[in-house]
Amino acid sequence: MNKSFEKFKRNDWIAAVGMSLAIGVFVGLFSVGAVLLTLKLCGVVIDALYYALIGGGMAAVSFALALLFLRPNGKKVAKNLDTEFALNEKVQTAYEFSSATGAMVERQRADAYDTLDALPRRHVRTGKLFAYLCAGIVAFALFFAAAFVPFRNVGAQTEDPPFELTDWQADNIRFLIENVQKSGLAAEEKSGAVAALNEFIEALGEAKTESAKLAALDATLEKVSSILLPPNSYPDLASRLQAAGQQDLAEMLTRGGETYRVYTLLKYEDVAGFYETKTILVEERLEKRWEEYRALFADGDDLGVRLAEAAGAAASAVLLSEYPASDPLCDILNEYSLELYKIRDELAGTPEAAEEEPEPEPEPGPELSPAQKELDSLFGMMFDALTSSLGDQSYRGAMDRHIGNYLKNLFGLPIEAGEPDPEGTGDGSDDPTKPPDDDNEDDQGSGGWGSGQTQYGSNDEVYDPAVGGYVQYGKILDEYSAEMQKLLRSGDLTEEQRAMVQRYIEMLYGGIPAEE
Amino acid sequence: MKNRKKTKNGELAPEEEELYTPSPEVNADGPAEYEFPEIEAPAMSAYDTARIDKFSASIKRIKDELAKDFVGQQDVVDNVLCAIIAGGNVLLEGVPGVGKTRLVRSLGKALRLPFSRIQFTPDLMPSDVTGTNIIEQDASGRMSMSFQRGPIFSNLILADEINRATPKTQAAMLEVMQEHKVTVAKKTYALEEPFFVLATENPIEQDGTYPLPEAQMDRFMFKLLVNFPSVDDLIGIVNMTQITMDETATAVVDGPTILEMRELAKTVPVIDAVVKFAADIVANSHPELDSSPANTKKYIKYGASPRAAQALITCAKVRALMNGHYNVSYQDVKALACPVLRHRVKINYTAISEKLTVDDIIKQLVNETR
Repeated sequence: MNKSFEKFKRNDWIAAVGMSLAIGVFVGLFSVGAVLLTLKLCGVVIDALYYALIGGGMAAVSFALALLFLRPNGKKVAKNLDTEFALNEKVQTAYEFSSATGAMVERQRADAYDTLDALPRRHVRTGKLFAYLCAGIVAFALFFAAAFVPFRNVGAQTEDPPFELTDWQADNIRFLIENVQKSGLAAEEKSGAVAALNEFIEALGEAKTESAKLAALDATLEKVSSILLPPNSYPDLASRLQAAGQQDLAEMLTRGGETYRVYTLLKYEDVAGFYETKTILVEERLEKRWEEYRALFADGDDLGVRLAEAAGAAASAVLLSEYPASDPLCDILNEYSLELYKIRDELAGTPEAAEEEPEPEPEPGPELSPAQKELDSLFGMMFDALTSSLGDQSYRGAMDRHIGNYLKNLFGLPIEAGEPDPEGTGDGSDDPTKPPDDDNEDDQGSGGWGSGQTQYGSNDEVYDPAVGGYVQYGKILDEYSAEMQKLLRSGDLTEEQRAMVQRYIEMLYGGIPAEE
Repeated sequence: MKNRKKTKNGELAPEEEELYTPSPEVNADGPAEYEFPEIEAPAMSAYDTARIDKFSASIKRIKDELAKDFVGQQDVVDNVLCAIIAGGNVLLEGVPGVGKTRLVRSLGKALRLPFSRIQFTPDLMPSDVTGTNIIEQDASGRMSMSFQRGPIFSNLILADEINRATPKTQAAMLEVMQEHKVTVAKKTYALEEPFFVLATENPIEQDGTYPLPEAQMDRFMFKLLVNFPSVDDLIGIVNMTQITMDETATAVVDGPTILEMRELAKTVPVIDAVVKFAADIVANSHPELDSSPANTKKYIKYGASPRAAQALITCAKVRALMNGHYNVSYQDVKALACPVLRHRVKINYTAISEKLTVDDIIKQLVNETR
């Protein structure tokens, strides 16, 4: 193309670079202004260098992108000229056929060049200029506005709401302390939990803001958990046992809290009654399971191998975990594994005894071999010890959960998912001292409330040794009721305990069954 | 036709004012045994700037000559000239007496091309158009077959009221238009270039007519509407014809020049964007395509064929050159959209019920394409 065309192209390049520079500057200023204003309103201070980096970076990127988009090429320049000066595609034709030969194309090209030479100086496109001007004004306005806006005091804006301990909140905490004192916790744990709760009342009395209240609550719950929950809780131990192949024992430990499904301690007038009831249920179920466990060793074949496996599993469960020596369950398992090793060694040393192993009978008795007798007594010891330890550990866990949920409910905080309301009413009552609504038979709270023949959609599961697995609580409600009625008729309960069980039955079924 | 003297043989002498004298054997009934000389188009390399300049001057001279015999209707004249140079045929629609025959006669005079008029009637046979073999007996009594050429053997043909002829005759005529050849009894006769047919349709009298089918309509490059002249033009017509009813145009170019102009027009450059524009117009006339505009889908029943795109570009080149431009522009294509498309696009009943003409729809289509 001729010199005139190249001049127009050069002018377009200059315009494109200028417009890109302007866009870069506007975007840079806008970015700095937006960031500065935002941070000022949030009360955040950053080094000025960062603003320079943000502005410079955005400006550079915008400039590059704008130039990429706006940069002219011959075809664009030709099209713009034809459009601007109404040349009927003369310049575009000359550009497109610039390298063609022939009389006509040469004539056309010459005509186009003459036209280009005669074109006047290009006028400024006011339409786009106005848009650029507006963009520039906005960018500068935002930048200067951000520069002169003072920093906002964030602390003053986000005030901590005040807090004052009310009498009824203090009374409820004292009520909780009374329950803990009446509970079956060991003396050391009981005194520690009570002390933590007393300290909590004092801290709340001194707290003036909501944040202080929440901080005191978190600290108290953490302290109570550290007192009540052993450092090696039964769920953790259960996972180790599971890894060692002791599935049954692991399940019992994992679900230890659910072997006796009681959802609230407040259902009992006497917390100690809960502990005793728990013991009965745990012993019964664990005993049934233990029969199966015992059966593993009734067979005389490979007795030594099995003993070694059991001992190894128990020992590894203990060895794999970092338990302090004071952990009762660890002590039991450790002792158990040592006894098993002892029996194994004895069997290895007396091959006659191994050969004399009787027919496989699960029931221990006078016909059992000495090794089996020893195992049987060992099972008895283990049973008692595990029951006690499980009970203790589960009880401490239940107490910890109860204290935590009670306090959270008291101060309107969400309770852990899956955990029932300490009230267990499901009626949405905020007052923990309010007795449960027994007339609300349609309540679908945990525990399967309602008549014995109707289940109210409880999805909670309990371990059923008869089935060998976990079943929905509502499905064994009748069986559970029968067990409690048997307990009532047994005459082994004190008056206080009978009243507690009767109340529990009433809450579950709305009345004592007629056949009683 | 002026009175002509008779020769010694008793045959009519050639017209004194006949400008084109192919051979002494030409008589009023048309040429007999005559082989038209082949006129080859000059090689492109022989053209120079002078010939390019000559194009516009020739066009201007032709228009000036036509203006002597034809008043007004400047767009019709321009488009007819454009079609002749582009090598296409034209379909004229207009009421009787608007000057269709006169236009073609004047053109024949100005371009120095033989002219023949064929009045189509329902009893016209194909052989009446193309010619037929007849048995002749020479002086010795020997019988032989001789081909008598029909009126189609001319350069400019006025096919008057083509829609009155039977489909068979129409087909014969249209085949000649397309092929520029006549085949009779297995012998092919080439027609002389430039060959141009200007067909007419009477839009008033539709009784006893055989409308041209769409496929045949597609063979016409343009369809032009000859409207009733304005009062001023009518005054001009009356004043002119009071002097003489004969055409007074004189020859300014000849057949070879027209062919030169045709070849020259082909060399006019057109950018891809304009070609795409023409193609888009034709494509957008098809309602079955997803990309066509909403108005196309609403008002058009059938779209234009690819011949329409070819016609648009070919004629746009000629038009550009006629206007003194050396390249094709969007404006050239837009100006030719209606003549090229109005007989190729079929509108549906919705358009008719909304009193929209095909020209209205084509203009909408062009506006929506760019």
